[in-house]
Amino acid sequence: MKTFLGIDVGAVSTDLVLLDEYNNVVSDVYLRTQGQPIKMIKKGLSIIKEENQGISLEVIGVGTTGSGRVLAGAMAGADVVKNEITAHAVAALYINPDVRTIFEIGGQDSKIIILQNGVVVDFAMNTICAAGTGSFLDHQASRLGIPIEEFGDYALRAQNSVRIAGRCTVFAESDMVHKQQMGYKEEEIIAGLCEAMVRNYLNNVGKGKKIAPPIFFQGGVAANSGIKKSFQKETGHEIIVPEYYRVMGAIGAALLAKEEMEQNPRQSAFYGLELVDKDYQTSGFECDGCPNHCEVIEIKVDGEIIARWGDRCGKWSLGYQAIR
Amino acid sequence: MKLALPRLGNIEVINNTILTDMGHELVEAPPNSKRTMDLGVKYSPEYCCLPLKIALGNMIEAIDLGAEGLIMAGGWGPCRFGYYAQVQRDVLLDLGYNFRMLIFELPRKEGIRTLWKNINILRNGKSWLYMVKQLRFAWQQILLTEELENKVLQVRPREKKKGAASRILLKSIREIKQAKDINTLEQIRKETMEKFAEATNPHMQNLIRVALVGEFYVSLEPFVNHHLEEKLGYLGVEVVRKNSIEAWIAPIMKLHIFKESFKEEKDIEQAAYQYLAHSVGGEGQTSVGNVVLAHQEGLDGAIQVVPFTCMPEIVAETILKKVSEDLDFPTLTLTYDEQTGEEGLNTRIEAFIDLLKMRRKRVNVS
Repeated sequence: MKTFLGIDVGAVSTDLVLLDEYNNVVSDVYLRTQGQPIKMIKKGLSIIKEENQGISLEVIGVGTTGSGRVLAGAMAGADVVKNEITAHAVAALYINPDVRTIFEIGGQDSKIIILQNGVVVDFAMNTICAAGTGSFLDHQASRLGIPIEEFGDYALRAQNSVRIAGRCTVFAESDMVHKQQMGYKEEEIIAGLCEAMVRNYLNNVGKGKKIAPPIFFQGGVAANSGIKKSFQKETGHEIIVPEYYRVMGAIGAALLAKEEMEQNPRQSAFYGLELVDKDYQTSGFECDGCPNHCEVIEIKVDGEIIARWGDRCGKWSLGYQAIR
Repeated sequence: MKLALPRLGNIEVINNTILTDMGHELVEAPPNSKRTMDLGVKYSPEYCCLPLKIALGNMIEAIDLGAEGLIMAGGWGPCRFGYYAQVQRDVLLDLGYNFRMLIFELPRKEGIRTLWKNINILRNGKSWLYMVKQLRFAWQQILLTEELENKVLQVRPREKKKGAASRILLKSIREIKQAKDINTLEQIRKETMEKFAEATNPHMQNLIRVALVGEFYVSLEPFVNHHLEEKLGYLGVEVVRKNSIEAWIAPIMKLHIFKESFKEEKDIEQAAYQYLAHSVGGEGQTSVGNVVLAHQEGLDGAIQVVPFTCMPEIVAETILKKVSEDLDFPTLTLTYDEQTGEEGLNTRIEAFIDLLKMRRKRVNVS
């Protein structure tokens, strides 16, 4: 079977998707990055291998995205390395070419993408603070001793919600403690947290943008039905959570790889599924050739350097061309 | 007196002309680095903007290398820049440094005496004629440097070998710095342009073109903007730089020879007028005007660079949302502070360029 592989390495999760030639999802894997992207990519690939035992998988294109896209691209041998905004937009457009707004909330950052006639026309990202992201919910869930997976259901059960300050994680937390001490129910507090987060997102990330339906909600936080409900309430529109909401970035990367290979047909740079058995080492050094002091990263397989990047002048650059 | 000029892009090209040749001992301020930033951030008031902090760090480095006097521009107006030099001087004095801050700005009232004194320190007993000659030559050096810097923005996205354009520029900058007369400058211009032509792939046409607007220091100092021009160039984008030392100094001097720049300033104000009818300090109104002009010139989009907490640029940023909507002209605002992680920046730039490319495709189809 001819397939395209998409890898999305984010701060919190590492996602892999294998698409067949007709863009059907063959396998999808969602793993926690836990600060070990290389290990998780290998693990993801071995899961894909296991799931498809007995089927010969020919990977004819690889795309990487997410904040770890360059490393992932160098390690796997990617044909295209793309930012996650484009990847998420491409994936959503494939599912619904009329999509106008994408809310994407991941572990460490959140984005809003505005589209018109199938083209991205505006976007925004938060990275200043984590108040409107998955990490914030993770943190509060563990504070309350509730598994993050059940968080949304708690919110849906609430009759009322408690008002919690949403501008800053620290304020939200002290507000939450205060409301707990006052005797509010857990469900109501959780519903309040979801609303606070949505308010925060719409005010900071979505600031000044025209939010028009259809609205897609993707990224890990889309699993949270409480957040979805709050978004519906705040925007007054239906919120669509696509089936593969968790791995939309990886789907986008795979679709981009397919597009690239169709436009510029060639042999994929992919190192093959065997790479799961290889020993990868990364190291870095600071070049002192000029005042730029570039941080150069290199990646070795079984002791042999396969890629090097990070220099501005191209003096050290080595390996395939898709990476900067 | 051992004198130093803080860094700003390639401003160092005039070091010999205005300092060494005037009989001063030159202390080269080191290129901005992480150390510069650390020093600046450590000793500056926390709420100040990044340009003040970096420049302060650079001054400390220069004094540590033996500088006894620092040359600094000043100004008047609602932007904090007008008071940078004074704040930096006081911070440095508090730190116990023994030095002199030579502030050059258009004088008001008793300020004229200080300016006169500073000019005389710089003149260092040389004749007025010689001083004027040196200043005029320094001006020529700046003009050529900026001409080549602008040219490199066109060459970089078309270069045959990655890094070639930057290397050619670096070498020419060194030569401009050593040059002593106009003929040499002319020769450097000719040779550099030839080298640029050789490094260019002539088949690269119809590239995405983006205007770079925003705060002066952030847009002109690559260390602060994380080499934004280079990043865009390597993404295959031709950058059109809207700020320049020429356009900044010329109107201040209000001299006959700078008539041309004057006209540009008027055009920018005119372009901004509908959205922002008066100055809000710094480059606020200029940024708005330049985005409108960039749209009129048929560019694909504009990137505004802002130092965190910069009031004029925040005003402009808010207005630019409206401009962008009215003209259907994409703009991206990048806010810079002391963060060194570049991933978020790269993601925004790449996504913005993808957006511009997709728009072009759509226009071609319809």
